[in-house]
Amino acid sequence: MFEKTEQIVNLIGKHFRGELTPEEAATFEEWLSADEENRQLLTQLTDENAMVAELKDYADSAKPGLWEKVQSRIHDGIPVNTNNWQVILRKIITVAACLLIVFLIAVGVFKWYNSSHKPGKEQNVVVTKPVPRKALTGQPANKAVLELATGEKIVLHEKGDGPIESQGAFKVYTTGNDLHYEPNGNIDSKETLYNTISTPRGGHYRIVFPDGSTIAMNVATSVKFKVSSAGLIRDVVIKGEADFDITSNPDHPFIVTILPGINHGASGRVEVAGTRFNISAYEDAAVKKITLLNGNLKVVALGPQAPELITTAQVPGGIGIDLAKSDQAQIRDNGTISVIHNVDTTTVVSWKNGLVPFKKTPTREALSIIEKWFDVDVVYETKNVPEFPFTGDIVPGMSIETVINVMQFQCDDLHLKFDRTKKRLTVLP
Amino acid sequence: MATQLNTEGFSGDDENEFKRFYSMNKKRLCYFIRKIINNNEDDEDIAADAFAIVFKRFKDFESPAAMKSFLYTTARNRSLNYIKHQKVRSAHEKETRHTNQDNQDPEMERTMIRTEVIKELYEAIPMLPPKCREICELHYFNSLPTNKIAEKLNISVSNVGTQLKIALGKLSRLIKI
Repeated sequence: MFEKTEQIVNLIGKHFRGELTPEEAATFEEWLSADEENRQLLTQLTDENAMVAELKDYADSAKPGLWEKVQSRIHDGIPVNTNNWQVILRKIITVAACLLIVFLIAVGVFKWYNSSHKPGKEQNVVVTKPVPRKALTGQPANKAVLELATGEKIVLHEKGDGPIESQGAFKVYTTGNDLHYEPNGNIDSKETLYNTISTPRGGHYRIVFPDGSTIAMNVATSVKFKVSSAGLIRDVVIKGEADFDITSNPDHPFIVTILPGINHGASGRVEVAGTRFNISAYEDAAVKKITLLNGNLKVVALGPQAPELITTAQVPGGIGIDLAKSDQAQIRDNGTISVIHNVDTTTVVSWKNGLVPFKKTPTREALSIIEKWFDVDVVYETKNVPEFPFTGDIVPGMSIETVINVMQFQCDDLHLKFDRTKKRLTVLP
Repeated sequence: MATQLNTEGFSGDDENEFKRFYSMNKKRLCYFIRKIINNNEDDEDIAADAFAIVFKRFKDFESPAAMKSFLYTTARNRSLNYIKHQKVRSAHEKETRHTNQDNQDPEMERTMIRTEVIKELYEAIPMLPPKCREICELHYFNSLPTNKIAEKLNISVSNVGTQLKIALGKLSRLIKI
């Protein structure tokens, strides 16, 4: 029943787009001529008036009560025939249940009304700062916080261009949206000093190291490294997502350590000799992804641990996997690494241009991405979140409302409510 | 919203798999059934039967394609049964064109083709350009009546109709089947 159907549907699609090859056109014509009804079907499918009505009919299909019906058949058994007294009985019971619920609500309302009128109840007025609208439309702004070795925090986007106090063996300054580190002539300091740069939700930033290596940070990401050893910075720890463009230096492999997730699964380490790669390692992601765009890279999965910082000297000999260009290593919480070849690297780094693709992205992951990209809070008011593979792109300038609309459109069991002033996206039952 | 499924012997993954399968197929299945039985009332009952039967046999399926194929075959058979019973009970029931139980019934094939094409058109709506998409969402997703859409977008009622037709033209060129 299905192969023939698929073939014809495919031909109809090509016919719509004007892409039929001569062979295909012949096959299509054969089908159309085989039965007058076939030709009539095509006519109907191209009749815009009729199709608007059909689309509406389709859109209204499967009303919310359907899931309940599926549930009750799974629990109570499936009737032999659909059209019999069991169905009628079920309908009567449903109506009765509805009436009972209405009655209980009425009673509840009555009780609440009588008890809520207490004298002397104060009104609390909460004043909220107005939220700048820009934050809720697609493009993250350049925002980051630098935590110095002393613990002091500097808000980089409020600082303006110019120097920041010297950190260990490096002088530090900002230009535009970049944070630069350069040697300041100091020798190794006796204490171990770290700097940490963090982007907030809805924030991007870039770090430039003494050898010209750069790290472009995505939203809700933090990068930490030592500044006390003079010379190079070739060792960082990351959680979140960033695009790395690392200068080649075979004597000093660049090491990136990925922190374990919130479920304390495996962490990982990436060693590079000089390359371009993207790491996606958000704490709440079940799978951490390392994609190689250019050069050479080795991925090692470490056990569950929270390393402060691993330096080249301390690197334990874990089993490493060498990646080739366009490979993507995926580290799962249980420590397994799998490699996918020939990934579409443009979609992996498209976030840098403000485009976030959803490719059959499951519901919770999609909402987590939205949370970080738009800087909103996602609140779950139900444990039963419909699972759906969402497909589409968040493009620059797209508002969060549009994204929500599209998601609800693709999966109409998903009920979302967005409060712009509170920046809160609620998942309703 | 949804109560827990009875998951004896099911892993959490299976349950999610089934929910996903349900979400992805519910509209097209109901539409398909409606076209066969030619009424708008009992399609959901038949669809619910078919989904429940798939759920019971969940572990037997080798692939999502096999599951989908079984879903449709079950729905088709139950729909044809339904029609038979309707005919027996009342000679005045609306006639249906689906009489043939066998696999090669051309009418059934056409109904499947129609269902798949409309499903693709519907799912292409998010890919329309913004103004087109907005009017389609209001009409198809929000079920706003035409006059309200006209009010909201500040256009005439007849313009709403025209825009929806234009959108359809665009949709037919957007679908990837």
